[in-house]
Amino acid sequence: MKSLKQQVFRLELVGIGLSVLVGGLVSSLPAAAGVIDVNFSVPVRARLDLGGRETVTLAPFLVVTDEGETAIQQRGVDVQREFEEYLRRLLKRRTKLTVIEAGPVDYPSYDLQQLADNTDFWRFLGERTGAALILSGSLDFDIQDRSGYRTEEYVSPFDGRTYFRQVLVEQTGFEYDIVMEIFDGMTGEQLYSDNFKDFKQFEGESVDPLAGMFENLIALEDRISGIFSQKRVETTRALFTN
Amino acid sequence: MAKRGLWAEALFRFQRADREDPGNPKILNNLAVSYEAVGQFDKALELYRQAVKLDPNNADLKRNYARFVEFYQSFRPKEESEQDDGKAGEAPEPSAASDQPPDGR
Repeated sequence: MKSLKQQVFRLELVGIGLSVLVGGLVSSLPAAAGVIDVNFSVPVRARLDLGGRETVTLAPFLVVTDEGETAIQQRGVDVQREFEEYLRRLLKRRTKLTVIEAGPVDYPSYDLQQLADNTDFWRFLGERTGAALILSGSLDFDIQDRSGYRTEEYVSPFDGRTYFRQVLVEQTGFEYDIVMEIFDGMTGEQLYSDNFKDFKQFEGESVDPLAGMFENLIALEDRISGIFSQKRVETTRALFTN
Repeated sequence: MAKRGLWAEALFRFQRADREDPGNPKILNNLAVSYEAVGQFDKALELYRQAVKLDPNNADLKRNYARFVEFYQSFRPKEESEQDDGKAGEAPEPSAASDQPPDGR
Protein backbone atom coordinates (compact mmCIF):
# COMPACT_ATOMS: atom_id res chain seq x y z
CA MET A 1 0.00 0.00 0.00
CA LYS A 2 1.30 3.40 -0.95
CA SER A 3 2.03 5.85 1.79
CA LEU A 4 0.03 9.05 2.22
CA LYS A 5 3.12 11.07 1.30
CA GLN A 6 3.39 9.30 -2.08
CA GLN A 7 -0.30 9.89 -2.81
CA VAL A 8 -0.02 13.59 -1.95
CA PHE A 9 3.06 13.87 -4.18
CA ARG A 10 1.18 12.20 -7.05
CA LEU A 11 -1.77 14.59 -6.63
CA GLU A 12 0.63 17.54 -6.67
CA LEU A 13 2.14 16.30 -9.91
CA VAL A 14 -1.30 15.95 -11.49
CA GLY A 15 -2.09 19.47 -10.28
CA ILE A 16 1.10 20.89 -11.77
CA GLY A 17 0.42 19.06 -15.04
CA LEU A 18 -3.08 20.47 -15.22
CA SER A 19 -1.98 24.00 -14.43
CA VAL A 20 0.72 23.77 -17.12
CA LEU A 21 -1.88 22.53 -19.59
CA VAL A 22 -4.40 25.26 -18.70
CA GLY A 23 -1.66 27.91 -18.62
CA GLY A 24 -0.51 26.80 -22.04
CA LEU A 25 -4.01 27.02 -23.42
CA VAL A 26 -4.58 30.46 -21.95
CA SER A 27 -1.26 31.80 -23.16
CA SER A 28 -1.87 30.40 -26.65
CA LEU A 29 -5.35 31.98 -26.87
CA PRO A 30 -4.30 35.59 -27.45
CA ALA A 31 -1.93 34.51 -30.22
CA ALA A 32 -4.63 32.53 -32.00
CA ALA A 33 -7.50 34.94 -31.46
CA GLY A 34 -5.63 38.26 -31.35
CA VAL A 35 -6.40 39.48 -34.83
CA ILE A 36 -9.24 38.72 -37.19
CA ASP A 37 -9.83 39.89 -40.70
CA VAL A 38 -13.09 41.63 -41.40
CA ASN A 39 -14.54 42.51 -44.77
CA PHE A 40 -16.71 45.42 -45.74
CA SER A 41 -17.17 47.53 -48.81
CA VAL A 42 -15.83 51.01 -49.44
CA PRO A 43 -16.89 53.42 -52.17
CA VAL A 44 -14.67 54.04 -55.17
CA ARG A 45 -15.12 57.35 -56.89
CA ALA A 46 -16.02 57.43 -60.59
CA ARG A 47 -12.92 57.85 -62.73
CA LEU A 48 -14.43 60.68 -64.67
CA ASP A 49 -15.73 63.73 -62.87
CA LEU A 50 -19.02 64.24 -64.68
CA GLY A 51 -19.29 67.77 -63.27
CA GLY A 52 -23.05 67.98 -63.74
CA ARG A 53 -23.05 66.47 -67.24
CA GLU A 54 -26.13 64.33 -67.71
CA THR A 55 -26.25 63.36 -71.37
CA VAL A 56 -24.04 61.19 -73.52
CA THR A 57 -23.98 60.10 -77.12
CA LEU A 58 -22.26 57.08 -78.60
CA ALA A 59 -20.22 57.78 -81.70
CA PRO A 60 -19.44 54.62 -83.70
CA PHE A 61 -16.54 52.62 -82.32
CA LEU A 62 -13.92 51.79 -84.93
CA VAL A 63 -13.36 48.07 -85.41
CA VAL A 64 -9.68 47.25 -85.74
CA THR A 65 -9.81 43.45 -85.67
CA ASP A 66 -6.88 41.82 -87.47
CA GLU A 67 -6.03 38.14 -87.12
CA GLY A 68 -9.45 36.85 -86.03
CA GLU A 69 -11.34 39.06 -88.48
CA THR A 70 -12.22 36.35 -90.99
CA ALA A 71 -13.37 33.98 -88.27
CA ILE A 72 -15.69 36.64 -86.85
CA GLN A 73 -17.14 37.60 -90.24
CA GLN A 74 -17.71 33.95 -91.11
CA ARG A 75 -19.65 33.49 -87.92
CA GLY A 76 -21.81 36.53 -88.63
CA VAL A 77 -20.98 38.61 -85.56
CA ASP A 78 -21.33 42.36 -85.91
CA VAL A 79 -18.77 43.47 -83.31
CA GLN A 80 -19.59 47.17 -83.54
CA ARG A 81 -23.36 46.80 -83.27
CA GLU A 82 -23.17 44.26 -80.45
CA PHE A 83 -20.80 46.44 -78.45
CA GLU A 84 -22.73 49.65 -78.90
CA GLU A 85 -26.01 48.02 -77.92
CA TYR A 86 -24.32 46.50 -74.90
CA LEU A 87 -22.78 49.85 -73.93
CA ARG A 88 -26.12 51.61 -74.27
CA ARG A 89 -27.74 49.07 -71.95
CA LEU A 90 -24.86 49.31 -69.51
CA LEU A 91 -25.04 53.10 -69.33
CA LYS A 92 -28.77 52.93 -68.74
CA ARG A 93 -28.44 50.28 -66.05
CA ARG A 94 -25.37 51.48 -64.17
CA THR A 95 -25.29 55.27 -64.59
CA LYS A 96 -27.63 58.24 -64.40
CA LEU A 97 -26.66 59.43 -67.87
CA THR A 98 -29.24 59.82 -70.60
CA VAL A 99 -28.12 58.34 -73.90
CA ILE A 100 -28.83 60.45 -76.98
CA GLU A 101 -28.73 58.86 -80.43
CA ALA A 102 -25.84 60.21 -82.49
CA GLY A 103 -27.35 59.49 -85.90
CA PRO A 104 -24.98 58.94 -88.81
CA VAL A 105 -21.43 60.05 -88.06
CA ASP A 106 -18.94 60.69 -90.83
CA TYR A 107 -15.43 60.47 -89.40
CA PRO A 108 -12.85 62.79 -90.94
CA SER A 109 -10.18 60.16 -90.29
CA TYR A 110 -9.95 56.56 -89.16
CA ASP A 111 -6.77 57.14 -87.23
CA LEU A 112 -7.62 57.13 -83.53
CA GLN A 113 -4.94 59.63 -82.55
CA GLN A 114 -5.85 62.07 -85.28
CA LEU A 115 -9.49 61.75 -84.34
CA ALA A 116 -8.76 62.32 -80.66
CA ASP A 117 -6.88 65.52 -81.50
CA ASN A 118 -9.68 66.84 -83.71
CA THR A 119 -11.51 68.96 -81.11
CA ASP A 120 -13.55 70.77 -83.81
CA PHE A 121 -15.05 67.48 -84.95
CA TRP A 122 -16.14 66.45 -81.45
CA ARG A 123 -17.44 69.92 -80.61
CA PHE A 124 -19.51 69.88 -83.78
CA LEU A 125 -20.87 66.44 -82.92
CA GLY A 126 -21.68 67.68 -79.42
CA GLU A 127 -23.53 70.69 -80.81
CA ARG A 128 -25.44 68.58 -83.30
CA THR A 129 -26.58 65.97 -80.79
CA GLY A 130 -26.86 68.24 -77.77
CA ALA A 131 -24.93 65.70 -75.71
CA ALA A 132 -22.61 66.85 -72.95
CA LEU A 133 -20.38 63.81 -73.39
CA ILE A 134 -19.34 61.82 -76.45
CA LEU A 135 -18.14 58.25 -76.19
CA SER A 136 -16.01 56.76 -78.90
CA GLY A 137 -12.97 54.55 -79.38
CA SER A 138 -11.95 51.31 -80.99
CA LEU A 139 -12.76 47.62 -80.69
CA ASP A 140 -10.53 44.67 -81.37
CA PHE A 141 -12.28 41.34 -80.91
CA ASP A 142 -10.39 38.22 -81.91
CA ILE A 143 -11.37 34.58 -81.99
CA GLN A 144 -8.33 32.39 -81.64
CA ASP A 145 -7.93 28.71 -82.31
CA ARG A 146 -6.02 27.58 -79.23
CA SER A 147 -6.23 23.85 -79.97
CA GLY A 148 -3.17 21.78 -79.31
CA TYR A 149 -1.83 18.50 -78.08
CA ARG A 150 -1.70 17.67 -74.40
CA THR A 151 0.16 14.78 -72.80
CA GLU A 152 -2.22 12.52 -70.95
CA GLU A 153 -1.54 9.58 -68.65
CA TYR A 154 -3.49 6.36 -69.08
CA VAL A 155 -3.38 2.85 -67.66
CA SER A 156 -3.50 0.05 -70.19
CA PRO A 157 -6.36 -2.41 -69.56
CA PHE A 158 -4.22 -5.18 -71.04
CA ASP A 159 -1.04 -5.03 -69.00
CA GLY A 160 -2.03 -2.57 -66.22
CA ARG A 161 0.98 -0.34 -66.96
CA THR A 162 0.89 3.43 -67.19
CA TYR A 163 1.55 5.00 -70.58
CA PHE A 164 1.54 8.55 -71.86
CA ARG A 165 -0.32 9.62 -74.98
CA GLN A 166 -0.82 12.83 -76.92
CA VAL A 167 -4.41 14.03 -77.03
CA LEU A 168 -5.75 16.79 -79.22
CA VAL A 169 -7.58 19.38 -77.14
CA GLU A 170 -9.81 21.76 -79.04
CA GLN A 171 -10.00 25.16 -77.44
CA THR A 172 -11.17 28.56 -78.56
CA GLY A 173 -9.89 31.83 -77.17
CA PHE A 174 -11.77 35.13 -77.20
CA GLU A 175 -9.83 38.32 -76.79
CA TYR A 176 -11.45 41.72 -76.49
CA ASP A 177 -9.41 44.90 -76.55
CA ILE A 178 -11.39 48.11 -76.15
CA VAL A 179 -10.05 51.64 -76.32
CA MET A 180 -12.57 54.02 -74.83
CA GLU A 181 -12.36 57.74 -75.30
CA ILE A 182 -14.63 60.38 -73.86
CA PHE A 183 -14.94 63.88 -75.24
CA ASP A 184 -16.55 67.02 -73.91
CA GLY A 185 -19.54 67.83 -76.12
CA MET A 186 -19.13 71.58 -75.46
CA THR A 187 -15.40 72.02 -76.08
CA GLY A 188 -14.49 68.88 -78.04
CA GLU A 189 -11.62 68.18 -75.67
CA GLN A 190 -10.72 64.68 -74.67
CA LEU A 191 -11.70 64.13 -71.03
CA TYR A 192 -10.73 60.52 -70.56
CA SER A 193 -9.08 57.63 -72.34
CA ASP A 194 -8.66 54.06 -71.21
CA ASN A 195 -7.88 50.62 -72.54
CA PHE A 196 -9.79 47.53 -71.40
CA LYS A 197 -8.63 44.03 -72.24
CA ASP A 198 -9.97 40.60 -71.47
CA PHE A 199 -9.19 37.08 -72.61
CA LYS A 200 -11.34 33.99 -72.14
CA GLN A 201 -10.73 30.43 -73.25
CA PHE A 202 -13.29 27.67 -73.71
CA GLU A 203 -13.13 23.97 -74.53
CA GLY A 204 -14.34 23.10 -78.03
CA GLU A 205 -13.79 24.35 -81.53
CA SER A 206 -17.17 25.78 -82.35
CA VAL A 207 -17.90 27.84 -79.27
CA ASP A 208 -20.56 30.49 -79.88
CA PRO A 209 -18.60 33.69 -80.57
CA LEU A 210 -21.36 35.84 -79.11
CA ALA A 211 -21.15 33.90 -75.86
CA GLY A 212 -17.38 34.42 -75.84
CA MET A 213 -17.77 38.11 -76.58
CA PHE A 214 -20.23 38.60 -73.75
CA GLU A 215 -18.03 36.69 -71.34
CA ASN A 216 -15.36 39.27 -72.14
CA LEU A 217 -17.74 42.19 -71.78
CA ILE A 218 -19.20 40.99 -68.49
CA ALA A 219 -15.68 40.67 -67.11
CA LEU A 220 -15.01 44.29 -68.09
CA GLU A 221 -18.37 45.65 -66.98
CA ASP A 222 -17.33 46.96 -63.56
CA ARG A 223 -14.34 48.75 -64.99
CA ILE A 224 -16.34 50.35 -67.79
CA SER A 225 -19.18 51.51 -65.54
CA GLY A 226 -16.61 52.67 -62.97
CA ILE A 227 -15.68 55.48 -65.39
CA PHE A 228 -19.07 57.11 -64.89
CA SER A 229 -20.40 56.03 -61.55
CA GLN A 230 -19.22 55.39 -58.05
CA LYS A 231 -19.00 51.74 -57.15
CA ARG A 232 -18.24 49.78 -54.02
CA VAL A 233 -15.38 47.35 -53.62
CA GLU A 234 -14.78 44.78 -50.95
CA THR A 235 -11.88 45.51 -48.63
CA THR A 236 -10.22 43.73 -45.71
CA ARG A 237 -9.01 45.17 -42.40
CA ALA A 238 -7.54 43.64 -39.27
CA LEU A 239 -9.45 43.91 -35.99
CA PHE A 240 -7.95 43.14 -32.59
CA THR A 241 -10.08 40.80 -30.59
CA ASN A 242 -8.58 41.02 -27.11
CA MET B 1 -20.56 42.22 -34.29
CA ALA B 2 -18.04 43.45 -36.84
CA LYS B 3 -17.73 40.03 -38.45
CA ARG B 4 -21.49 40.07 -39.05
CA GLY B 5 -21.38 43.55 -40.49
CA LEU B 6 -23.15 45.17 -37.53
CA TRP B 7 -20.80 48.11 -37.63
CA ALA B 8 -22.89 50.67 -35.78
CA GLU B 9 -23.17 48.30 -32.84
CA ALA B 10 -19.48 47.39 -33.04
CA LEU B 11 -18.61 51.10 -33.10
CA PHE B 12 -20.64 51.69 -29.94
CA ARG B 13 -18.78 48.88 -28.16
CA PHE B 14 -15.35 50.07 -29.28
CA GLN B 15 -16.20 53.61 -28.13
CA ARG B 16 -17.04 52.22 -24.72
CA ALA B 17 -13.80 50.20 -24.68
CA ASP B 18 -11.90 53.37 -25.59
CA ARG B 19 -13.45 55.24 -22.67
CA GLU B 20 -12.41 52.44 -20.33
CA ASP B 21 -8.90 52.14 -21.72
CA PRO B 22 -8.01 55.41 -23.45
CA GLY B 23 -4.95 55.50 -25.67
CA ASN B 24 -4.93 51.77 -26.38
CA PRO B 25 -3.73 51.52 -29.99
CA LYS B 26 -5.62 48.28 -30.65
CA ILE B 27 -8.91 49.80 -29.56
CA LEU B 28 -8.14 52.92 -31.57
CA ASN B 29 -7.51 50.69 -34.60
CA ASN B 30 -10.84 48.92 -34.11
CA LEU B 31 -12.58 52.26 -33.75
CA ALA B 32 -10.91 53.47 -36.95
CA VAL B 33 -12.00 50.36 -38.84
CA SER B 34 -15.57 50.81 -37.59
CA TYR B 35 -15.64 54.48 -38.60
CA GLU B 36 -14.31 53.49 -42.00
CA ALA B 37 -16.98 50.81 -42.37
CA VAL B 38 -19.77 53.29 -41.59
CA GLY B 39 -18.31 55.86 -44.00
CA GLN B 40 -16.84 58.39 -41.54
CA PHE B 41 -13.49 58.51 -43.26
CA ASP B 42 -12.05 61.68 -41.67
CA LYS B 43 -12.62 60.27 -38.21
CA ALA B 44 -11.12 56.94 -39.31
CA LEU B 45 -7.99 58.67 -40.63
CA GLU B 46 -7.49 60.53 -37.37
CA LEU B 47 -7.81 57.33 -35.32
CA TYR B 48 -5.58 55.23 -37.60
CA ARG B 49 -2.92 57.92 -37.25
CA GLN B 50 -3.18 57.94 -33.46
CA ALA B 51 -3.02 54.14 -33.32
CA VAL B 52 0.07 53.87 -35.51
CA LYS B 53 1.76 56.68 -33.61
CA LEU B 54 1.21 54.84 -30.32
CA ASP B 55 2.35 51.44 -31.64
CA PRO B 56 4.56 52.08 -34.68
CA ASN B 57 5.90 48.52 -34.83
CA ASN B 58 2.57 46.75 -35.04
CA ALA B 59 2.39 45.23 -38.53
CA ASP B 60 -1.41 44.83 -38.50
CA LEU B 61 -1.94 48.46 -37.55
CA LYS B 62 0.46 49.64 -40.22
CA ARG B 63 -1.13 47.44 -42.87
CA ASN B 64 -4.60 48.74 -42.02
CA TYR B 65 -3.35 52.31 -42.14
CA ALA B 66 -1.59 51.78 -45.48
CA ARG B 67 -4.68 50.25 -47.01
CA PHE B 68 -6.89 53.00 -45.68
CA VAL B 69 -4.60 55.75 -46.95
CA GLU B 70 -4.51 54.21 -50.40
CA PHE B 71 -8.29 54.03 -50.55
CA TYR B 72 -8.81 57.46 -48.99
CA GLN B 73 -6.43 59.26 -51.32
CA SER B 74 -8.33 58.00 -54.34
CA PHE B 75 -11.72 58.65 -52.80
CA ARG B 76 -11.69 62.16 -51.36
CA PRO B 77 -12.54 65.09 -53.62
CA LYS B 78 -9.77 66.51 -55.79
CA GLU B 79 -9.73 69.98 -54.22
CA GLU B 80 -9.51 68.50 -50.74
CA SER B 81 -6.64 66.19 -51.65
CA GLU B 82 -4.74 69.08 -53.24
CA GLN B 83 -5.14 71.24 -50.11
CA ASP B 84 -4.30 68.38 -47.82
CA ASP B 85 -1.49 67.06 -50.00
CA GLY B 86 0.85 64.79 -48.14
CA LYS B 87 -1.11 64.98 -44.90
CA ALA B 88 -2.68 61.56 -45.23
CA GLY B 89 0.68 59.88 -45.24
CA GLU B 90 2.06 62.09 -42.47
CA ALA B 91 2.22 59.71 -39.51
CA PRO B 92 4.24 56.67 -40.64
CA GLU B 93 5.14 55.91 -44.22
CA PRO B 94 2.23 53.78 -45.41
CA SER B 95 4.02 52.29 -48.40
CA ALA B 96 6.81 50.98 -46.22
CA ALA B 97 4.28 49.63 -43.78
CA SER B 98 2.65 47.13 -46.05
CA ASP B 99 4.32 44.06 -47.43
CA GLN B 100 1.12 42.89 -49.09
CA PRO B 101 -1.04 44.24 -51.89
CA PRO B 102 -3.32 47.03 -50.64
CA ASP B 103 -6.62 45.24 -50.97
CA GLY B 104 -8.22 41.90 -51.48
CA ARG B 105 -5.75 39.42 -50.00
